[in-house]
Amino acid sequence: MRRYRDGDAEATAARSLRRLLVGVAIFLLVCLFLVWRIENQRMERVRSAVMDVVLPAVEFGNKPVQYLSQVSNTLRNHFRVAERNSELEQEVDRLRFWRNEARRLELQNSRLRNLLNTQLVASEFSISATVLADINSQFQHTVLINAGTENGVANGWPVIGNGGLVGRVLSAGAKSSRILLLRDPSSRVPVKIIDSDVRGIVAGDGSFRPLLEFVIAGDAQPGDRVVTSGDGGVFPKDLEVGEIVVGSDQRMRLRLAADLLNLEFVSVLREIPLSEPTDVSDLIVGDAPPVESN
Amino acid sequence: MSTYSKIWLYRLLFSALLLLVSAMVMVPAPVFSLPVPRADIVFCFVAAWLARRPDYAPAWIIVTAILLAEFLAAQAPGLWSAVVLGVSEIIRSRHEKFRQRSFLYEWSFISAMFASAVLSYQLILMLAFLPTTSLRLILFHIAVTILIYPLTVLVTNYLFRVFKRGFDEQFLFPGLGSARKEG
Repeated sequence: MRRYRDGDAEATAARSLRRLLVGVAIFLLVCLFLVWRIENQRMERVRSAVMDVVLPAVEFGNKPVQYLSQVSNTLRNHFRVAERNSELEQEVDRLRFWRNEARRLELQNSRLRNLLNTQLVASEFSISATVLADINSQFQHTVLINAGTENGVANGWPVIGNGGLVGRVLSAGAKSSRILLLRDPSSRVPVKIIDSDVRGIVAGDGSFRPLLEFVIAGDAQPGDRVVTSGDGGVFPKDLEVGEIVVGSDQRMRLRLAADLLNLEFVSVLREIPLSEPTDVSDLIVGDAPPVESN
Repeated sequence: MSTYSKIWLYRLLFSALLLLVSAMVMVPAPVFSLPVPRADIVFCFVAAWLARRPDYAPAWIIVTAILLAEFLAAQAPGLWSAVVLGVSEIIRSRHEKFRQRSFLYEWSFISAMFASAVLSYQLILMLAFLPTTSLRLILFHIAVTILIYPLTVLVTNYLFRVFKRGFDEQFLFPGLGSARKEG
């Protein structure tokens, strides 16, 4: 009987010790959260470091699933090879036409540039990367790519892929970086409508069709095409964003040009930011030879 | 196999399961990209294992796995782990009741736990002036997770062979003797 009571007391002691430990753990975790809230920059650097270490394991773990999806894709394609072939041939024809058109326009452009004697900002180039992981929840929409600061990626740079603007670099680690997609609730991109030059902001809200804000309903029609305006300096001008549609909630939304569901490859656009002209002589370069655009 | 090494084997299995599920959520599209909020499968497995064999799911494994997932998923690190740790301790303390009562009791209890965890998490985010999601999406997320829970219980039972005590080994392997005496 006595032994039983001893055991009981021991169990109670163990239970209260456990409760204490759990309490301490919860306290530490909440402290971690608060530190992150206050010292966001530093914690994000820690996060990037963790990511660089863990990412190979994630990639490895994803192999079987990726393999399965590849197999299903291959099977699906196998059954419609002929159909797909003719589709692709048509596509090639179309693209060939556009390539010739682009060459012609580029020639024309360079002639006109010569006439005007303008200087181009030939500072844009891109870094290609593969999408490694899709980190989506109802709270955030980001993807992870396999290029980081070692490849020249830096925070804030715009990312394009799959036919249009995808988002921007949220945080760049050494070997990987996280991309904030346009549909993320915290994404805001200054845009304009191509034909009318009406300016607005594309604001993500978690859905596939982000909102077009600060545009008066009369100024825009469904079907108008929208590109980045370059306002604010984060995004370069004239990147394709999408097309205006009216959402089920009767608000103006964008059907994005980039298919965010099937992102496989993206390019990070690298642009040396333009500094504001301080002197009028900066605006027009008199006798400098025109810079080749390619 | 001794009880001791068996417990550690299952702990290893549990950690691997949590890591695999957290990594699977991050597989690039299009396999898992649905336009609806996903169920919190990690939470479901944590609850299912806790309700069955809390000794296979020690708190430190749960916290480490969820903290790692939080770090990867760009969430505010620490907060969700803290909430889940608190909730998991409540579920752990109830596991005797789960054994005695029906599955319906377990399901409704764990649903209530998940709902309160998500709501308190969102409340703290709001108090910290961080962006929160619309209530509609949150409720949808809770509902999807509750509906997924029985599936994860089935997987836990029949894939991992983790049963409630007193039901398990004797039922499946009569040679081993009652598991209740063991525990």
